[in-house]
Amino acid sequence: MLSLIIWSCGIALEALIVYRGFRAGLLTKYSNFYTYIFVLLVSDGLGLPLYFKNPKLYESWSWFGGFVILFLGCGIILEIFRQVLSAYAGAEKIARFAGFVILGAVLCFAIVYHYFVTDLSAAKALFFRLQRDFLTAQAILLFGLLQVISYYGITMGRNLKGMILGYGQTLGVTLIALALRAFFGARFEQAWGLSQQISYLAALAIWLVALWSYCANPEPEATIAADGDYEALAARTRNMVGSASTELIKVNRL
Amino acid sequence: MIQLISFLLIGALLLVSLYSFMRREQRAEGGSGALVEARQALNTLQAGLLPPELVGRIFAREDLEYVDSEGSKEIRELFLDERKKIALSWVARVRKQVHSLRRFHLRSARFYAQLSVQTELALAVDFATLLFECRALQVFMYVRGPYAVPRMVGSTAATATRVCKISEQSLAFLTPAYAGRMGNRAARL
Repeated sequence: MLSLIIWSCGIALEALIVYRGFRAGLLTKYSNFYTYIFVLLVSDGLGLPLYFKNPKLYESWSWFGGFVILFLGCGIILEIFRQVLSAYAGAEKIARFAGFVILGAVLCFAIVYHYFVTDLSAAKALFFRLQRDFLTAQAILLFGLLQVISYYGITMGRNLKGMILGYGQTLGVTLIALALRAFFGARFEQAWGLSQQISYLAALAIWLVALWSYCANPEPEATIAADGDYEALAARTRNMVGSASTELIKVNRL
Repeated sequence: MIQLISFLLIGALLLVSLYSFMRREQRAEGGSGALVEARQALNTLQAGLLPPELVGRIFAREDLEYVDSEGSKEIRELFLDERKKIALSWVARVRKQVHSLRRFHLRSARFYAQLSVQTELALAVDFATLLFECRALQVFMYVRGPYAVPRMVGSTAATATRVCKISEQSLAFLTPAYAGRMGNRAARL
């Protein structure tokens, strides 16, 4: 019963987010994000009546929807990358580099992992495993992006902060729940389902508030106007750090 | 079990990062407020707190010898305690300057499309090392006291001046007129 209430609330929130996105003119600004929400709305909206009328069809529909939504989730991460770092060419380059390194590491992990683990038979097991691996890659990418944001002191508007918080908390909670489910098995099934639904509902509530109206990212102010003297800036900073370091070592050795 | 721990760790790390991301202070971009603040801090340090002769006077060994000549153990302990506080306060100032320099560099570097990943990584290591050295110095002073090693006074003063110069170079473009304009813009934010 509780599950059905959460499900219905979720559909209402999804519809409201899409409606507000349309009214506030956000659909084109955050196209990846709204594609994700729209597919969720269609999947849940069609899934609810099917659940009561034709449970067998619902079963296959939900697995199909699950896979599509899983892949579309990457679109949100890309949307966040695009929006957050668009004004910072340097930080974007670092983030892109970090992204390639992380994706390479995840790919290596996936190859090595499947070389040793070959018991991928049931579709359900495949989905959970794929979901966990996919979400892990997304969680690592988002974690990396958060570190870059923090390191370069990048500020952002309410829309993006909400997008990151909502999707990030769902990623974190789902990943923890999936790991516990894989470890504890059927005993954790009920708690797993409930935690998933609640974190998803929380994400929808966060998105609804954060994306109620358009809130642009604060305009960054460049401290140096020219774009051509990065080498000079980096060399000067390195000299400064080196000098200070040498002096401190001298003090330490006294 | 290893798999469980690693996935739990990734999930927990992401949640902790999100928490600190939401708690992060939304400063009015490094371009105005932070830079004016850095310039003002530097002026205060150079004008009132770190002239070499003043630091030398505060840490003068003759003071300790004079206190020793009085023969009071209580006064000596009180004196050393005060001096230690000053030395620790100085290292804290150096750390602050290094942080200021790093903040300035990052807030400039993030705009450069031709930014070098290798240079940035090397700089990140340099800054981390320097901050670690400052922390080590703090521990050293806390444990052994400001008079535990000879020539500490001169070196500390020299280092302080050096770091102030470093910060001044990094903020050299910020002339008083420019700082005034930036200050006005920051005040409007």
